[in-house]
Amino acid sequence: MEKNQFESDDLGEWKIERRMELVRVVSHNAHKRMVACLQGQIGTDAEKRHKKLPLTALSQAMQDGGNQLGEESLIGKMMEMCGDAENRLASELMQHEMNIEKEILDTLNQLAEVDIPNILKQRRQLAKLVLDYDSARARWLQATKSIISGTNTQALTAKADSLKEEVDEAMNKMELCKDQLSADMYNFFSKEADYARYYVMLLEAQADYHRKSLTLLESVLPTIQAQQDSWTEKPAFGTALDEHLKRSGREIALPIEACVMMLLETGMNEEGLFRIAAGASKLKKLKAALDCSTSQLEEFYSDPHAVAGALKSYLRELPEPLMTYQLYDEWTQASNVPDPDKRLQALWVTCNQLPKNNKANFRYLIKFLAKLAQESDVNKMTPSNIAIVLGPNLLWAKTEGSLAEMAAATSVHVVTIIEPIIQHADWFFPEDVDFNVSGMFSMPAPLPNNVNHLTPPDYDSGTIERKRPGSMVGPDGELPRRESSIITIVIVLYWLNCYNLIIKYYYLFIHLFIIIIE
Amino acid sequence: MREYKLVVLGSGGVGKSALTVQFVQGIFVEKYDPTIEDSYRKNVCEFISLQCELIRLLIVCLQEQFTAMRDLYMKNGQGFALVYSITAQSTFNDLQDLREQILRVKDTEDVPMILVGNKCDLEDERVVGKEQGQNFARQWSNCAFLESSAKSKINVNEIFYDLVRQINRKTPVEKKRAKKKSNCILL
Repeated sequence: MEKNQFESDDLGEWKIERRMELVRVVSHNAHKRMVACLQGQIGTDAEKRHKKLPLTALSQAMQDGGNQLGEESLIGKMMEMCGDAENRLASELMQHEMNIEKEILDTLNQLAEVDIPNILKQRRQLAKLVLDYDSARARWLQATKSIISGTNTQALTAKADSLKEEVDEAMNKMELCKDQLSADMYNFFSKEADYARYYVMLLEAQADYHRKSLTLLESVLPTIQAQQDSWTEKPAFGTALDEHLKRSGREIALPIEACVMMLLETGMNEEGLFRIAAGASKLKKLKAALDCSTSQLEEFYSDPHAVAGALKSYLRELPEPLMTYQLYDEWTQASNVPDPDKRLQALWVTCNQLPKNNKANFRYLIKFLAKLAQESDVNKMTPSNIAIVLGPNLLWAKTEGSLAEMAAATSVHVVTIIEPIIQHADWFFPEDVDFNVSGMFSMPAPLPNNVNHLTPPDYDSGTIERKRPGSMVGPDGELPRRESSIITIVIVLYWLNCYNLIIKYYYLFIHLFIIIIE
Repeated sequence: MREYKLVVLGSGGVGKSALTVQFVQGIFVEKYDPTIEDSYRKNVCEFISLQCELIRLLIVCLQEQFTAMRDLYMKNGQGFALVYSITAQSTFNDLQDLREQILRVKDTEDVPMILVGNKCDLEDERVVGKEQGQNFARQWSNCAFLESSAKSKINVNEIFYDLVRQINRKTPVEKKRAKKKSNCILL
């Protein structure tokens, strides 16, 4: 009866026992995998762990690289900063792993390898005690039976008594062990919440680690970004004009000035300059060379088409066209004015609305193109030709409409805007331009006529004297026509031998000429 | 009547317009004006079959500023004349990219095409050898190749006739109902 009782009692405990074994196995596995996640070696001291981390090795390699490249190299600087950051990340990681190891891994290990096995050991111990008790009890029962049938009652009674004592002792031991075991088991399960908590702690620790790493990275990022931005050797191609000028401290964009200077040396008499395409590989090389301020440009003096191509390419790759998106409509409207004189004035007004940097670069370029057009007898690039091939690089519409719209926007329109500006460059921009703004670009061996290129000669700038709005008094666009008509009158009279008339109105003519010249 | 849309492509100044004007009007233009957009038509009665053929020519410049339209031209064109000048190496080198672009837009290897080395009257200034042109054409899965001169009227008609022949071979006459025009645009 007692045995049965014990077994029914045992049923609940047996379930608990099985679950406990399960808990042991899964905890063991979890521990094993967690250890595998650690990058450091488990059980070693902090310093050694830190040294062994892959991040530390990375940081070391970066710092070495930084030292070798030196301070003047951007890559070197960046490697040093990055290496430092990686080192700090490595410390964080080490801290985190130490923490995990102490708080979670060790306790988990304790649970799986010590606590539960101890309880299970106790369970086995109990089984043994139960057996002991059973056998003692059997012996005692046997003894009591033999008292009834036996003869030597006294001796038998004494033996039975001693056996009874053994039974009592065994039962006592068993009961003790059983109670202890039950207590431990219930204890274990009452602490399940504590054991489960390790997993919360694991995630908390990981979150904490990542947060700390993130904070660290975020504190480093602005510095390293600032370092990156402060580097002036950024490519000019594809960079906004204002940004490029500001960063390089220039007035005229480097590619524009470099190309113009080179073309002034060797390109002015080249047939089809800006029209004939350059070799693609040469063009690529020159563009890359212009992006890198330390490069040598001498070799390109002999290839004006590549230089012209690079200039076109630079203008085309600007995020915003040199003549700006904002003024696109105004340029178009100005070019649509039917009266030629009024059209010029409208263009002039629009031109003056260009932002400062754009205007300076535009002026520089237009002055150069006008100079190029002067040589059109040789290079065949008349203002109209230049406008056709270069115009689409100076102004384009922002909105990407249909293909037909784009075509309309890129070709014909722009030509009617650019051509008159090149034609009348000296009316738009009367002041002379010194093309050698920064003095960076000159031929390797300067030629005697070099000087002429640097200060453009005064050419027939007085042929067209149109009024600029608000700058001169007098009716719009009257002067050139009046001038030519007077000359015509004089010539016709001369031809008709009307000397007396000429003499008669001599003073009048002189007077009119003076007005014109003024 | 069948319509052929031929596209003439090449770098600036290689003589696309000159070839076209020579073909269409029989004159040599001395002007050095870059073409923005131009179209020509020509009836070719004496040509291959006895029915009148109308050829529409489209001339597209390689200048990078006109790239926006290039895809469209390529999509609509049926035959392509890729022109370089035998006096300028760079105009020759650029054609490889151009061919690849055409094949990409057309999405097939089999596009009626002819490689043309123009200005062959300027033998003194030659820098691109005839061999080079032939080799190039061979690499382009045996594309047709001609050296021409718009000025001296050498091989001008042949360029366009060859293209028309290639188109006829590729799309025989029964498909003609769909297309009824031809034009030519100078860029």
